[in-house]
Amino acid sequence: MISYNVIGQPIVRSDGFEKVTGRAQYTGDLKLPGMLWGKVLRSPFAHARIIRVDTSRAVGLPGVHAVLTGDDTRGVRYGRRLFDVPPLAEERVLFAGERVAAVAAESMEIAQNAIDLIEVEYDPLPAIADPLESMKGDAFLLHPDVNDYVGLPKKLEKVSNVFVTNTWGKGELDTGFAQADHILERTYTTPLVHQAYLEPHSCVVFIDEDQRIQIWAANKAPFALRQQLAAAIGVDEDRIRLNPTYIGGDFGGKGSPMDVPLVYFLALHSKRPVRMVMDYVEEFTAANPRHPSVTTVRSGVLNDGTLTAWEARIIFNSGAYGGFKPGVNLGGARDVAGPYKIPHTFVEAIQVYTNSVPGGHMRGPGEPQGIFAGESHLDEIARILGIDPLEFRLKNLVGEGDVTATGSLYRDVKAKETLEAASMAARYGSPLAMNVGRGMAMGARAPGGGETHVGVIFQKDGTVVARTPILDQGTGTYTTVNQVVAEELGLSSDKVQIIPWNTDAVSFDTGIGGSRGTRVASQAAYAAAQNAKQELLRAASEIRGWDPSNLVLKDNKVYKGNTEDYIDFDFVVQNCGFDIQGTSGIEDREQLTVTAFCAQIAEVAVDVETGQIKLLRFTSAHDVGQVLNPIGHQGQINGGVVQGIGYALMEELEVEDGRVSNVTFGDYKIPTMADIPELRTVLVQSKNGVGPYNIKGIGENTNTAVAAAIANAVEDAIGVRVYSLPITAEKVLAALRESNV
Amino acid sequence: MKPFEYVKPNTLAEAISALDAGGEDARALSGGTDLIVQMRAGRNVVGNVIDVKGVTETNVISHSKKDGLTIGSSVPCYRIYNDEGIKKTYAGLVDSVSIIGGTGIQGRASLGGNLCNAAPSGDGIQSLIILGAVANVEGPNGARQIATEDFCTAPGQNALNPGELLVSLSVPEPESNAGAHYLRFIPRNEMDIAVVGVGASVVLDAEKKSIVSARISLASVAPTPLFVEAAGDALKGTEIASDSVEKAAIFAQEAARPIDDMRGTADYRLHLVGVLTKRALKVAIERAENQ
Ligand SMILES: Cc1cc2nc3c(=O)[nH]c(=O)nc-3n(C[C@H](O)[C@H](O)[C@H](O)COP(=O)(O)OP(=O)(O)OC[C@H]3O[C@@H](n4cnc5c(N)ncnc54)[C@H](O)[C@@H]3O)c2cc1C
Repeated sequence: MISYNVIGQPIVRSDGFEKVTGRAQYTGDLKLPGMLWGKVLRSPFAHARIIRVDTSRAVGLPGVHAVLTGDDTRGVRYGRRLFDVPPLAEERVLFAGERVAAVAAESMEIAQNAIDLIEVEYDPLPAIADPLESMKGDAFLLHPDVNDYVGLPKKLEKVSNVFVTNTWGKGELDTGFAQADHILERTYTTPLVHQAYLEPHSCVVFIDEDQRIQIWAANKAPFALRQQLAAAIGVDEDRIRLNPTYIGGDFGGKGSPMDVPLVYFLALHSKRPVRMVMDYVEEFTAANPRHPSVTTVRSGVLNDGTLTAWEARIIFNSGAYGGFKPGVNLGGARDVAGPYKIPHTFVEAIQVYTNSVPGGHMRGPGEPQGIFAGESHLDEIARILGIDPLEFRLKNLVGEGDVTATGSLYRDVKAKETLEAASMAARYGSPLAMNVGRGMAMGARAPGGGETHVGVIFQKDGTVVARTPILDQGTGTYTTVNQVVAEELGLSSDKVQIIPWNTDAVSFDTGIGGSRGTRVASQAAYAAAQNAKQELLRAASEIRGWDPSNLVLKDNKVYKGNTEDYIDFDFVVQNCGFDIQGTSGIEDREQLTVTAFCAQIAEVAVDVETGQIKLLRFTSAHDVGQVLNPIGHQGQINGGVVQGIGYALMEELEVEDGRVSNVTFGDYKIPTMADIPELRTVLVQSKNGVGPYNIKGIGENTNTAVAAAIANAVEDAIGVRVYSLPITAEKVLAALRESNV
Repeated sequence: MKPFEYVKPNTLAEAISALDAGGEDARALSGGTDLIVQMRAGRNVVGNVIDVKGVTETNVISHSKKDGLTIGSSVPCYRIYNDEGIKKTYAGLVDSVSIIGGTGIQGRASLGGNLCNAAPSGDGIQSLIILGAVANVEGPNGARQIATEDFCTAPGQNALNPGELLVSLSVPEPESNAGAHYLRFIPRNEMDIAVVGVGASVVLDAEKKSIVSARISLASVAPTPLFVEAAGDALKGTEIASDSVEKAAIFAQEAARPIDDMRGTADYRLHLVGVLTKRALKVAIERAENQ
């Protein structure tokens, strides 16, 4: 192992002090002279024709500077890739919560009063909430013009509510099923859930005296947002500037333009800066929650437990629009087939429009849905065959040289080691009390790639400023950049200050997402630090007349070779006569040949009289490279698990008559501290990772297998399986009763 | 939140006259953990907020063998469950005040507020009912007492007349060989609203063999907290070793009138009433046996 001074150390977060002291400025804290409050009027109907919008009373209210309807933004469509979202509804509203009119006024109260004065006449239409209904040939079309939308990956031969399909697979399914001794088919469903970040979506838009569009937004991909907005409103990207701001949590949900295009129009019409902050009722009814899914898995297996065939179809309920996902579909769906060596496979993921909240990204987009189905299914097969689920997985998991079910070949494969480590730590196989059970599930995920830049500038006081276009949404990228720069320059972490860049500063940054932050930022920070170091050495050599090729930076000093002759680096910075800095631009989009495995084991006790599940213990094993910061790393693991526990046991946005009905955190349950059991973590060290430090990602993998592990533990405890999340007490009791008749 | 007037009187007389003067849209404020939440959400439009936490009578805890227990209407939960005398004698009350919300909420939330808020799910109300507590009320027309099982009249509605204030709650000293327990079913382990709650109290005979009297009350299965006299009566004179607990559970289920909502279906709630009634009685009996 290479030994480091700052890398791998439990360094406190670079943004921690500002956040805990309340100094960190979020978008909602921003105050600009003359700034107005934006507010939105939303549709109460899941589907309706808009007959008439009367804004006259709102327009007349003192303090109101702009009132907009669909007429004012007619024809504008935006999205992350697929441009199908209107800033304001035009002829029809397609979900309850859709924006129908908007106001900019001098205070939040005036804005709300103005909203209350807008009269809308609707003609309610039949609505489709169920994707299975929406897929039928005779269903009405939510988007008859879908083939004209910018960003649709493939024109539809026949226009339908199914707007995108992706498939993966290999071999011949028929052959695989023909070989099988057993064939099992099951259907699994997962609910609509919210990311539950602390800060709701917020943005400020201001068109300045140079006609530049200045934006602050709770958005973790500012350069992408700039592109999306420019394309939607038809301006040059150069006219738009995204300014840095803190982002109060993301979990995948902060990558959408959300209200930015609308607030641009409010700023345009009112000629003032406009701020809009969604409240949490709006978040629950109209942001971009995780997609609900219906997944059918059909598998073939030999008596000895060898998998021969795997067919899966995931139907994602996209809601009324498809614009909130950068891939149009959710690629994580392929994980329904998992890291198993199955010869004959076919996986299909489709997105269906319905009259409900448009779905977006959340921590491993598509993976928790797919893995819940796939890993539940595997466990059931094992139990049917009478093989222990651990043994069954070990038999089918990929090893070195094996291709996964959907055709990926990795090197340094640690799948079995990771599962075995989890099983040891969870004491899998040791005796259990009555109605107590253990269940496991696996996931694998390589960090995504992308582009970023870093700048490193030496300061005259002996400190260093590191610049990054990445906006840390809470996962610790600033700390990563800090540690890399400090390490490479031989400084302590408190000597490095992170100052984010706005979008004018560099050409592009992919933004946070897909667990790419550490992969891309660590490489960029490394390169920038190396460049800055060379500059420093060059400056030192100029001052002293030393040979630049033989200098060493150590303990804040530049040494001449291995001699005791040195010069203090702050002296160099102060006296060289120019700014010493290094920049870097990294583009690393390569599909990785190493992945990161995760194995999780839940231990539950079930109250068979009420059906209530008590989680007793939860163990996670992760295959990791160099851990840059153990606190941040463990935080991602614990946080991912906790979020997974919520998904498994309690979270669900309930939709009644097309409307989300549990719109507060009183009714929308997420786990509290009292719901978190003992969490155990084991790390399986791998020498192969990405970049100068051999790192792997950890942000999403932690979250994706949790629900399946819990579902499997429930079956182990009481012999019944729940096929739909969340696994509520009521569902467990119903399953128990069914099994007793 | 809409603007409102706020006063904080120091005496009971001032509080009553402020409440009386405030009229229809005046509300007393204790911990505010219901009232402020409702005002912010626009579910309760209040013009005059009368903060009664400064009134001596609403802050007392007094306990004697002769007069039983008196708890001021504004006394927050944490003071109740930390009181040595209450811990020893009123375990059935501690059960509910120690599960309302979480630690933060318990620093503010009062039993009086819980009762006046009249939620069918109110946990504190159930303990008051099974312990036979009465509400001490005072208004412009004088003082009166209301049995806690008669206090809640509809969801969010109570028996107070305009201008009347709940001053305190009197809980009689338990008879010898008495025990009580309250428990609820919630989807998570804290900070939650009862899907079903059941309170039970029993008094055993001197031999601790049979039940002299019993009271059972249900949360979240009717428009108000539900005192099920029939279930208690069914236990009267029965031996604790008999199947009377099962019978009482059936009476409780028959009295319950749950609805389907996002917290659970009516069927499931009925099932829970049965399970929880038995569990509540079992613990209440154990506590009585250990007296
Ligand atoms: C996060 C959270 C969790 C909660 N969890 C629970 C729970 O687990 N179980 C539960 O039962 N409740 C729960 N609640 C609801 C609430 O905390 C309780 O009902 C609490 O007991 C109310 O007491 P309070 O002192 O805060 O009442 P307040 O909010 O001050 O008042 C409640 C009502 O009573 C009236 N009132 C108050 N004092 C008097 C008086 N002296 N005379 C006449 N009227 C009066 C008020 O006008 C108001 O209508 C929770 C609330 C929150 C916010």
